[in-house]
Amino acid sequence: MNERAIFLLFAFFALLAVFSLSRRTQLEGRALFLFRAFFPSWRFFEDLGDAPTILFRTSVDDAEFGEWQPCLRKIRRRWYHLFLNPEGNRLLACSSAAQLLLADIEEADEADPGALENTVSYRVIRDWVRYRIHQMLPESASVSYQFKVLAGDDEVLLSPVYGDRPSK
Amino acid sequence: MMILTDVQAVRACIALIAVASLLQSTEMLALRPLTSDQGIWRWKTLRQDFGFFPKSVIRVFDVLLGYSGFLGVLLARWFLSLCILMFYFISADVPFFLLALLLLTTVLVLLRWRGTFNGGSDFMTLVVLMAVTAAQFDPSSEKLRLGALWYIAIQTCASYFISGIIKLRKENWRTGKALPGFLPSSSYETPKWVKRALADPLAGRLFSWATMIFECLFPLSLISPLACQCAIAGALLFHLSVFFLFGLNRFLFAWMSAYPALYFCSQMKR
Repeated sequence: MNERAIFLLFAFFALLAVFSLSRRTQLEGRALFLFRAFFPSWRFFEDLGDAPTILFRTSVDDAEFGEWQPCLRKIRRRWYHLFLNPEGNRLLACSSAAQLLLADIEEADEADPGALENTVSYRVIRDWVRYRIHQMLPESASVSYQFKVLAGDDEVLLSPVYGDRPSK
Repeated sequence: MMILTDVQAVRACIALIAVASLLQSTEMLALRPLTSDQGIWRWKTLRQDFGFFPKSVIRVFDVLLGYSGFLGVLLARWFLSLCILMFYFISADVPFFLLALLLLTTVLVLLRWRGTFNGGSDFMTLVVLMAVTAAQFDPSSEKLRLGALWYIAIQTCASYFISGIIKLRKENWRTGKALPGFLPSSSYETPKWVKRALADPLAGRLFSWATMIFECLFPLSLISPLACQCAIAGALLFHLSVFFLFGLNRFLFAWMSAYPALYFCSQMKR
């Protein structure tokens, strides 16, 4: 391997280190968003903030809507989760998806509320609610549902009522 | 005191990152229904994020990150991790192409999850995997090995140090209120005895300061092998506690894969 290639590799790693160590690296743009794992942020458990909560309610066969219920259900702790914890990591991924939606809500153009519904974050959360309903009501012929996002105690989003079948 | 050569350190990092990758891939395979066309993270939804790529690249992603293609990527990652471990156990040099393919499949998996699946553990997995892949590009190059090992060691120290410094700047961490505040975000119910313990302001402050001091002082692990061994023992306890409280199992294995590099670098300072 020649000296130039080694130099380039070291320059690459040095650049990554500088990115990682910078106090506040704002990654702008969709490309950097997708490749953000290359620019590690080590700011764990920084802000308590207002962790988003997703609540949903359903109406089966045009009956009245039921109570709001949380999308996330906590799981039981098991020793083998140290090695394999798919369910726990699924919940963490869902929480991250909710965080991304909260960020999109904060950036959303209030003059164009429909735009938010077309974001990936919104559609992922909607599919999460559908998935959850499908787990609960697999045999239902017709289900209407609605979800909302809470940041702390504040309601920051109330979805329209969706009437399609949850399995679709 | 145990002596670790640069070759042994790189090999140990490779073996441990292969274990982490194998466990991560097994979890992902268990979660595969979530990425199906009826799941939560459907490709037809997520591909909107990829709109900035040229159409030809998107077509490649359609094949690789659509449900059936993604299953193939996950299986390939699982199999590559296993192959790398086999090379390690028969004491053979792990070929560069296996690590490069593992890195490629890891990046594809992360792209499929909109950049990361599990945040910090993905970051550390990439840090170690990129470095050892670069080191194996030319196994005869000592410079490459040293660069890779130092890169991992510096990122490992930075991971604890930055995390500690940002906590120190927060009043709720200094007063001990942050730790109980984060517990509701756990995927587990918090045991009552933990809630009771952390509800005591003195205990909350004690655990918070212990965490911050440990994290901020972690770079001292590079001073000597003994300091490094103590730091690694503390870090293992720390990650086990985080797993117990928050269910973050992936962090333990991702960070473990970095410790051989850290230990090697702690020897070099002498």
